[in-house]
Order: sequence, then C-alpha cells, then structure tokens
Amino acid sequence: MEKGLNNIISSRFGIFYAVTGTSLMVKFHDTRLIEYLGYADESGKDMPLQELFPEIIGIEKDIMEVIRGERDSITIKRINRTVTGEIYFNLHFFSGALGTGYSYIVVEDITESSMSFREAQQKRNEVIIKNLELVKREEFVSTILETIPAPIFYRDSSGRCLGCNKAFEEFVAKNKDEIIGRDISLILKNSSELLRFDDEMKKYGGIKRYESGIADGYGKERHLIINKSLFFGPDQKSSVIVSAIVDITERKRMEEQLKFTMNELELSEKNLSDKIRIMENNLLIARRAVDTLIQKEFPESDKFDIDCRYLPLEQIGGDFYSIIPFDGFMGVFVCDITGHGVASALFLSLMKYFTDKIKPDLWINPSEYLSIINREYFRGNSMFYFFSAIAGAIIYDNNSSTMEFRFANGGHPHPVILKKSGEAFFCGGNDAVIGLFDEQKFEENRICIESGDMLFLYTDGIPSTYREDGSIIGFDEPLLDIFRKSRRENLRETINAVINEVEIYRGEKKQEDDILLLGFYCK
Amino acid sequence: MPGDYKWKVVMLGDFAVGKTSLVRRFVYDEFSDSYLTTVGVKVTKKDLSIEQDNVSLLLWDIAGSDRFSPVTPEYLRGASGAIIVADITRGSSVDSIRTHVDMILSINPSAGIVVALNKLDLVKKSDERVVYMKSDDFRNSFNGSPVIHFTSARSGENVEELFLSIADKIRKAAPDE
Repeated sequence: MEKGLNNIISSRFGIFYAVTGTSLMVKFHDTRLIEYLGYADESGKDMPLQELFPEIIGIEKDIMEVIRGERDSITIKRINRTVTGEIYFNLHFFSGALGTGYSYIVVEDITESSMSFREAQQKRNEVIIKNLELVKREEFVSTILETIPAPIFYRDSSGRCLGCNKAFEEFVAKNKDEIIGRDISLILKNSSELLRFDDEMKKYGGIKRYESGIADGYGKERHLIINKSLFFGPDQKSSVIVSAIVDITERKRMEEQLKFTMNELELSEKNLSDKIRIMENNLLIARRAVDTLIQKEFPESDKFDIDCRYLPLEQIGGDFYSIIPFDGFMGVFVCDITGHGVASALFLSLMKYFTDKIKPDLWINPSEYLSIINREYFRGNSMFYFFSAIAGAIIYDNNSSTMEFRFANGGHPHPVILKKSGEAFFCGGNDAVIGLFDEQKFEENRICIESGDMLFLYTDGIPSTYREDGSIIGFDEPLLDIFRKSRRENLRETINAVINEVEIYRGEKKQEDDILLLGFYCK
Repeated sequence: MPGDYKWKVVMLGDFAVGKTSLVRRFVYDEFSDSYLTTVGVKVTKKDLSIEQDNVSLLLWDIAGSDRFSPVTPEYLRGASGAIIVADITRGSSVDSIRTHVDMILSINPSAGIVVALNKLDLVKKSDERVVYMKSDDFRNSFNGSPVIHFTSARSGENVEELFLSIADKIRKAAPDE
C-alpha cells in the first residue's frame, strides 16, 4: 500500500516519503530519499529516525504524538543541507491511520524555490546593509554639519528649505521644525539677499560668493559673506542650492574701528609733524643764537697763537669756550654740559653771560671764579644739570719768554702741555663738577709755559672716543700719545693732526659726543 | 556516570550579524569574508567531550530575523539552548537581543541562553560601547541576565569559549538521566 502511495505522491508532486513507528526507526523508506539526503543506499534496513533527520532531535515527543495519532502533523520548514549541492526541503510528519502506530514522513524538495528566495533575500539584505552604511554616513555628515559654526542651509529650486544646521537655527532664531519644508521668505524677513543669484545659478550652476547686509532672526543687522553652490539630483533636473553664511559683522566693526583709529593717527601724525616743524624752527633760531655766542675769532697777540676746532654732535652742542684778552693776561674759560639742543643753547647763553660780566680780577683768581659760578648755578639748578669747566688766565710779561697758566678745574679733563720736544703731560688737579655741591672749593693750579710749548684744553668728546672693538682713548697715556704723535710746527696743523688721529682711532664708528679742542702756542 | 547527550542549540539574531560565521568557525575552523544570507535552517552537528560526557550539539543556524521576516517559532521548539548573536558595530542588532531572549524564553522557559557580541575585530576594546556592554548594567538589562561573550568569527577570538559556555549552561540545567 505504501509503495503505491509513494508512487502516486512522487509521480504527482516530486516528493519522497518514508514511514516510522513508535520505536522511531524508519521501517520503510524510499531508496531515492536515501540518495537525496546523501546517505549510502542501504535499502531494506531499518534506520534510526534521528540519524536520518537530526533536525528532529529535541522534538521527539511531538513526533510520538503524531505517531500515536494524537496530532495530525508536524512540519519543519525549509531545511538546508549540503549534499552534492545545496538542497532545501520541508520535512512533514503525518499521522497514519488511528491505531497503526505509524507516521508518514514526507520530504518535500523546495530547493528551486528556496534558491530563488535566497537570492532575493541576499539582495534585500545587501540593500539593507548598504542603507545602514548610508545612514551612518549621513549621520556622520550631519554631525559635521552641526558642528560647523557657520550657518548652513539648503533648499530646493522653489526656495523651500530642505535642511540646515544648528548655527542656522540660531541665526534665524527658529528651530528645525519651523524651518524645514518652509519657504525661506517665511523663515527670515527681508530674505531676498539670501536668494540673490539663485536664478542665474539654476541656469548656469557653479558657485557664488558675495557680501551682503541682512537682519538676523532677532532683527540685528549683520554683515555676511554668503557662499552658494548648486547641486543637481540624479535626474539632473531637480536642483538644491546649499548656502553657507560667514558672519563678518565683528570683522566689519573692527575694520571701521581701525579706519577711525587710522584717521586719528593720521591727524596725530600731522599735529606731531607741525609740532616737530615748530621745534625745528625753534632749534634753528636757537642755533643761530648760539652761533653768535660761540667765539670764532681769537684775540691776536705777539706772545702766542690761539686756535680751536669745535665739532658739535647735533645742531647745538653742549660745549662752550671763551677767551678774553686783558692787560697782561688772557682769560680762558672752557665748559661741557651734559646734553644738547635747546637746553644747551640756554645754558650757553648763561655761560656767555657769566664770562662776559665777570670782573677782570676774578680771571686771575680762578678758584674764586669757579666757586661763584658753582654757587650761583647750584642754587638755581632745579633740573640737576651739571657741567665741567676750566676757568683760568694765561698770564704773561712782555719782558719774559715764559708765561703762567693759572687755572681751576671743576671736573674737566686735565689740560695738556705739549713741549717743543714732543713730550706731553697732563697739568694740575681736578675737583667736582659744577652744580653738584654747594660751597664747593676749587684748587688753584699754576703751570709754567715756555716758548715753543703748546697748551691744550679740550672736552671729553676726545678721551671718550670709542672704537668698533669697544676700546676707548681714555684719560691716560694713549691720549698723551695722540698729542705726542700730532706735534707739528704750528698750532693749526697740530690741532688738525690731533683731530685726525681721533678720527682714525674712531674708524667707522659714529661720533658720540661734541668735540672741542682749544690750543695756545707760546711763541 | 558518563552519558551521551544531544542538545539542540538555536542561533538567533538579526541578519548579517555572523551567526553562520560563528558556526563555521567553531565546527570547521573556517571563515569567509563574503556574505551569503541564510534562508530556512541549517543544522550542523558538533561532538564535544565535557568532562566525561559525550555531547552532540545540534547547532540550528536560523535565517536572520527582522520585522519583515520574523523567526518561525517552530524552529525553537525543543531547543535546549540559544545563542543570541548581535553585531557589536550595529546598534539596532544589539537592541534586538532583548526581543530574541524574550522569544526563546516564551517558547522554552528552561532554555540556556548566552549572548555573543560579534565582530569584535572591528572595534577597539577600549571603545565606549564595548566598555558599556561589559558592564553589569548592560547584562542585567536582559531577561535572565545571560552570560555575554565578545567574539570575532574572523579571528576566532572567544568562539570556542562561546559554544563551550552554552554547552556548560545546558549541562548544568539538564536533569540527571
């Protein structure tokens, strides 16, 4: 009977069957089933059901219910096995006639439909996986968009906003629900500036960048740079315009501020220039005034020659000298104040006043002379300006070939005697500079000058001359050496030689102080 | 007394989380990068010796489920245990663990359950997600607080441990025969 059933079912539906009993042994089976399932053909032998169908492990009790006729059937759907190739089948257990203790096992081959189904599932799953990846990418792009501080939004060709970032929400003072899907003109008042060039871009595509002034969602005027780009959809017809806004309001404000400051600065510069011009004029006047104070001609004498070189550092120097002839002596005054310019001019006027007004007997009493100047100057010296000075007199007798240089020294470089033989030496002592202490005493020095000797008075511009290597002439032997090697027959040549030696010593270095060299040649 | 056991273990989880790859790695020590979706069910047997017992695990590799093609409950009938697999890099598959746990317990309340968070090779172990998923909070968020294994079918990391773990869980739960 089963063989007959098998033939009928197999021939009509292409399926296989076997029969099992309560022992869960396959009592009868179709030889084609064994082959189909990939087992060796041992036709005729009973086989344990679990061996033939391990898929029933765990549901043996359910199958027993079918065998006992307590339930009609059990089906395990779409079982996949690899035999020579992939097979798929549904495994059915049908109850036999009541009381028989058998179950019909039907193996329904569904390989063909399952392979098609698998192919479809494969494609579907691949699409879903791709979609998941796209969602991840979109989330990533969206995250980037949200973190960009510049407002960004995009809209379709009809002006409808399709999306935006957080910065745009803040710019228009609306949230995404109020933005997306709405026309830009409804999102922001006076939004026409945001739509500028749209029609042109829709025609020709490309990128646009322009500056504009727009009120934001709070009504606050903003200076903006608007960057736009057009994208076409896959159909090449639908277009999206992406706009990125850079707020340059603060930059503009700073530019305005800068412009204002520049104007102010320009004005200040002009004022300053005017002031400088006035000062330069004043300085010029002062210099002209000083020019009249500086002695250019020296008294003539049968007893000696007098000559001088004065090289001020600026327009008005801080050195001053005065030589005044008297009966039997020549009054000599040399000084050097710290500083230059107009202040020096005023100082020189003061010195000129002192030297012109001083009584003749004070010239031959130089200690007293310097003391008076020091006292007067100290008491009026509120600016703490000091100066060095030598005051004295060259006293001569028409019947004698020698002379006497009587002088007092207030902090000034020592006078130098340059002998006819070329020997040179410093003269006298040295006291404090003028203006430093009240009631300062100054020692009187007396030096004999013989015929052929030269006497030099100078300011510290000569000993303070520096070279490039940092060395200085100084107030000692090197200075005397310069005098020694500069000794010439006449005074002028000797003075020129000394100045020349100083300049050689200085080399390329710039002169840093006024230079005054005053010489007397005893005939 | 040593015994012979045959246990049905179902592999559950969303599609493309690596259920088939875990079975292949465990049974054949193989791995393939190409993804071939599973339809229906494929049963693979793996014999183990646990202490003195001979155990045959019948691993039911079931087609991945989603809301459009849910798992047929008939597949779960008679299962002694279930391995719920999720892709550690795919949040939605991790979210589905709870659904799978509840489903297996609704059909077989005594089934042993372990969870495999697969594709560990794609994340850093210091990754925030990994750190959280290792926490008791995460484990206790599932019905029955199943043991969680971090696996990689690609490298084989923790795959053996995963299957031994479910076998051990079933063995401890099974009544002495």
